Amino acid sequence: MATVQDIAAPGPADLPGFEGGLDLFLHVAGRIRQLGRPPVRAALWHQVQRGALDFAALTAVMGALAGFFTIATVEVGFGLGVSLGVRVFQALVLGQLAGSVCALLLVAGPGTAAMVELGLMRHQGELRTLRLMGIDPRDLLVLPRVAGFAFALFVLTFIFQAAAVLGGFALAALFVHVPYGPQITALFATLAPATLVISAIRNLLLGAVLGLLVCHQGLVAPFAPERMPQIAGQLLTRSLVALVVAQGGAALFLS
Amino acid sequence: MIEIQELEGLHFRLPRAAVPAGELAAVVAPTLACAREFVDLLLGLTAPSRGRVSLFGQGLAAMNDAGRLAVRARLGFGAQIEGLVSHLALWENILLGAGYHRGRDAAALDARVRTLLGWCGWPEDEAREAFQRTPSQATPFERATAVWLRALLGEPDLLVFEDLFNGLATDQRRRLIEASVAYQSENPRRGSVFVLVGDRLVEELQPTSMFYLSLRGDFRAESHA
Repeated sequence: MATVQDIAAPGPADLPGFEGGLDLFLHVAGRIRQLGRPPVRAALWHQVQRGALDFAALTAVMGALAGFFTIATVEVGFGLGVSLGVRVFQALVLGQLAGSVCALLLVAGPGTAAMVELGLMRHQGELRTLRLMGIDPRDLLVLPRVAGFAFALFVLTFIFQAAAVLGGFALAALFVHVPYGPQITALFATLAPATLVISAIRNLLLGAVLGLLVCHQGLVAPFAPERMPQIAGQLLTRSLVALVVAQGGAALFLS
Repeated sequence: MIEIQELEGLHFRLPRAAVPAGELAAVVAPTLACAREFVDLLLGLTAPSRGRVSLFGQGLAAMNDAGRLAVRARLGFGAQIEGLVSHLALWENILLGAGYHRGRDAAALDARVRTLLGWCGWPEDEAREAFQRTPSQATPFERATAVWLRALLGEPDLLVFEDLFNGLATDQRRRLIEASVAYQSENPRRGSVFVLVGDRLVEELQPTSMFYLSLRGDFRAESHA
């Protein structure tokens, strides 16, 4: 029977030949078809469930409250009226807040969990087993997470935006007596389809970047269970930078 | 099936050995580190500092990463320690190899799983209940059987097991050995390599084993036909 001293250390290079996030991205981009394999598909579904479905109700509540507070503050508190209030709501809640809140929610919850999961797998030598089984760990671990985070952020942001419009306007009509119909009319009069398309693309790309950051932090960057708080902090910092870049880039593109 | 020439690692040196198709080989290592090094060199995860390993007639050291993965896809590998994905249930682990390499899902593999469980002498309802557990919740026998099933479900020509019997009782080891022999007897081209840690298990394998390679002592290979 093996003793503690007898346990062999994990392999020297868990993902040999990989320099960092760019390499992971190039691999993922070239291996999309691997999502057709049953275990990879199951991992994708698992990630979507953990990233999007488990947080759908919470996101809807946050979206409705964000919409309500914005309408109440701008239209009633500042007295700026429906037309200007809806424009502020559109730029602030739908344009910026929805993506940012959902991205942070993803990183703080499923992102950190996935990073720890991957880091522990690496630490316990499970990547060696996958490679000895002829399975590329990037196919099974990176690809579904990157695709899953992209899809999850897309879905969560959509839920947040829909809840902000429907729930936020309804709450505003109920509690601060701002009429529901004119709000909806004013919103659809100013909402350009291009804005929605760019927002959707931005969320897909930002979600994929967050997935890459999570995988990079778990699989490539230095990892040790005792350094978990610092590693989680690094992930959050990098995700915030990615978020600011994505939001700024989309705002510049739309201006 | 396997040819080794003047293979040298950190823990052992193996002058010359060959395991032809249809054989069941026992490779005895003094420590788990030595066993892992042998498996890593055999399956091309690390390149030998000296010597050559050939698998299915192909030298893995000269291949690129994708080529080596493709060769490994033709065999069934299993290790009891760190040999399962910790966040997946045993059943998901069992389906992993056949699902990834052959695109098979649970329904397609169900009948075969039933047959293999029968060979192990493990009642199906008991086994299926155990398969819902994660590796950390499972017993050594449940983990070993999950690893064994996963390796066999891909219908490979070569099975390579690393320290599979760790922590198993005698009758549990015997059931897995007999089941492996039954699998091999389905097709004369199939072969198996059991990399054992410590030689006390060799006697149990010997009635079915033709080959015995020792990686211990003076690091010289012994081969018994």
